[in-house]
Amino acid sequence: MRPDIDRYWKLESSIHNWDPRFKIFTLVIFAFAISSLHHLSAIVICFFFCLLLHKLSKIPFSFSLKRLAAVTTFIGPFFLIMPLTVITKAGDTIYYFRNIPYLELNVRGIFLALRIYIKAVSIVLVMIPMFGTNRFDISIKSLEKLKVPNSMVQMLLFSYRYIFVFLAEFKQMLLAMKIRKFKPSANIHTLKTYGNFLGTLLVRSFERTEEVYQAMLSRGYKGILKIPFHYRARFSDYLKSVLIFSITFFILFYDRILL
Amino acid sequence: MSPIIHIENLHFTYPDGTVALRGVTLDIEEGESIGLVGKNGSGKSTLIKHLNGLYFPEKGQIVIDGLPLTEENITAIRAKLGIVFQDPDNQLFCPTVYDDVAFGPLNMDMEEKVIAQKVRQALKKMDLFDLADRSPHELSFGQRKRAAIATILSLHPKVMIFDEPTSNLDPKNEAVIADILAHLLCTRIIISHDLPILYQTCPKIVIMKEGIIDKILSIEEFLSDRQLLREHGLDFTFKCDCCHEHKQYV
Ligand SMILES: Nc1ncnc2c1ncn2[C@@H]1O[C@H](COP(=O)(O)OP(=O)(O)OP(=O)(O)O)[C@@H](O)[C@H]1O
Ligand SMILES: [Mg+2]
Repeated sequence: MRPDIDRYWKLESSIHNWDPRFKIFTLVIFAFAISSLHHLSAIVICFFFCLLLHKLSKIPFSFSLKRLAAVTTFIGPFFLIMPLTVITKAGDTIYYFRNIPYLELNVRGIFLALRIYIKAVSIVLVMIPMFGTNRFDISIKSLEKLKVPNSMVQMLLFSYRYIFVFLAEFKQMLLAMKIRKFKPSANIHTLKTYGNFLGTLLVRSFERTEEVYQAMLSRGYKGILKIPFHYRARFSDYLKSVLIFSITFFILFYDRILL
Repeated sequence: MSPIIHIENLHFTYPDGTVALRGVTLDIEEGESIGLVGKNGSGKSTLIKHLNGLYFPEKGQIVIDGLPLTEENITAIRAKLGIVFQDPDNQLFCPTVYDDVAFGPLNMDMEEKVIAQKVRQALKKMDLFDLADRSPHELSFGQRKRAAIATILSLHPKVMIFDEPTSNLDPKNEAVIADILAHLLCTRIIISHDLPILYQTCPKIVIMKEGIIDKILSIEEFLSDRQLLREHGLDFTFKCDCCHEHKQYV
């Protein structure tokens, strides 16, 4: 199994050859800017810009669609909840239903949900070129240069490494249960079995942590992960960042001052 | 000449009350290759984890290459004595094989150029040079075992310890590892239940039993004493006996 997010790191594009430190720093700020926008028109402009970035990265859109679907299932219910629950303000358009007395549908709620949804989709569209155009461990390593605390970087690197071991262990145990003809059903036995399953998984992970830590100590680990790092920023890296920063600035200007 | 490893009257009890070592005394000379054998639970792993200060003796003394095992000496001792643990997944915790092999040298504050050179050497020796950029989870089990050895080789320790280096390997990979172990020049301690491997790599056998050193003898003496082998859960001759019995059917 491969980590999925960086499946297309080997492609070549102007996003791929952007120094990961610059790329992550710039795009994270851009993503924050998107999340702070107020006006739908500014958000939509950003959305198209994110589409463009995604296109430039050459990552197939079908790959990103899965992630967008996840966002949709998460935010989709907002379209139902927000119109029903948003606090009515002067000037809101509200629909009433004749035979359901307490139900009010506020159109402003739909637009609120729409804003949240487009923002979320845009941010996902930025994240994919941000982390999908380098090997994931290189992306994480560059976080260290961006002054993310070492302990955090270590945690990310270890999760990246051990999620696969964990999954393999999980699958193996599942198989062991299948071999012994375990069939889940709605009874106390099933519950107990799942309980044992999780317990064993937890104990195993804990033991592994202990042993990994001993292996690290044995090789001179003293609490800080030393990360060899050999990126060199070129003129084009600065240029790309300046370009995105200017766009960020203009959109914020448009959103806050012009509208 | 003073021994490179000196262990004197070592006692250790786990926090849960399990007494694992009850007075181990052992000297190992520089350049020796020792096979450490004994039944499951006899204390082999516990003993080797003392040698680089993963555990501290509750009673007794350890001296590695002239340095007594103390908090101040621990970094120096860990540079001199490398342990390859049984499960390679626990030994390979970095995103790539290269990073893993570089991990030890980086911690020892070597220069970058020196590190790169040592990593390259270790990878070449383990025949992993082409896999340097792979993630450990993309390697086969045999490759991971070799990578685990490379992570210690890059440190050029004076003593290398292997905990079950050939467990779970197929015969081909087993032979590869045995060959590597046999040709290392440093002092070696090899924990194994595998008699052919021991025969190939260790002229001297140390037997542990219930937390003490039971016997020290040459590999020939060891292999010729079937009673002894059986006593320490290592008798494999029964497999051959079976074959003999069934020869008539073949
Ligand atoms: N973390 C631990 N906590 C408590 N007891 C332990 C721990 N690790 C080992 N023991 C116990 O200490 C004793 C010695 O164990 P040790 O792992 O050193 O044996 P071993 O000779 O390496 O066995 P094996 O051949 O199975 O690897 C055993 O009785 C074991 O149950
Ligand atoms: Mg053991």
